Amino acid sequence: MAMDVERNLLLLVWFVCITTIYFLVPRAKAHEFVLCFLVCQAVGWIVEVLLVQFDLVAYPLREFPKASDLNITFKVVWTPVASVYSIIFLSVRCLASWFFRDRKVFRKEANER
Amino acid sequence: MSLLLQYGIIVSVWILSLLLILIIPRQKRRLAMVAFLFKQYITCIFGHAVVELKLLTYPVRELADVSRTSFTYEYMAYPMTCAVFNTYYPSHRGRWVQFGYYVLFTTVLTVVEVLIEQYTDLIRYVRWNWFWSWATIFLTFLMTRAFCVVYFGTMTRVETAKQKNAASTTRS
Repeated sequence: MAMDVERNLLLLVWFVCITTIYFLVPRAKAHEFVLCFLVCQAVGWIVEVLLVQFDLVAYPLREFPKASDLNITFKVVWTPVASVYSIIFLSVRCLASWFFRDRKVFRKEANER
Repeated sequence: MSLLLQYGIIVSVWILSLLLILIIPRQKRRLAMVAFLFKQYITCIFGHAVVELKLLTYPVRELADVSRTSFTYEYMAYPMTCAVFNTYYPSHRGRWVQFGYYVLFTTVLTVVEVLIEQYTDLIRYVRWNWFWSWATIFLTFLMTRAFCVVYFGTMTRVETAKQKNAASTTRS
């Protein structure tokens, strides 16, 4: 039972990622999205392999249990899509100004405005 | 073949494929990057599926505890060959020259793979033969080339559309 729930969760991850790509990514940012996606999966592959190699993470339920100890859903869709959304939709400047809103870092700009 | 020699082959494959960066011309680096990354993405999925179905095994491999697939081949060697393939693609030549270019790269990769299969333990064919290798390599090259053509074709169209928009707004 629990196994089925987990497998359905993995399917849900695929579904959510693909539908949100279709609806959230604007057409003008499609190329940026694709390049970010591919770079993120390339970096994420090495990171996940090293995490599993040094026993920091384990994926007991995975798609290809004989072929690999990695979870292919996380490697192929989940981490790339999440990191791409953070790159495309979150502006670092906006986050920083929110984080330092009471400090003196952005005070000068606020005065100028 | 001794284990040390086979690890030496793996290390030399890494060095060779890193050296292949040098023969990519500067103005084609973006194309090479997109080809490399897309090939890596599809090779990862296909490679895992093939090993899962036990069509191939890789008895001697790096990171042996983590995965039963060949990390070197999937991560570096094969995508880098594809990047070189895309940078020197004869897009202005005839159709048969293009087909021959595909056949050349595919055949060279397959011959190297068959030699490695014969003389070392780096790869073993279980329910697989050289023609399946040849066909999958050909198809993945075709997919990557199609992806690159679509990616860069639509990108120029977006830029021209932006220029058109800018021109129309300044005129009005």
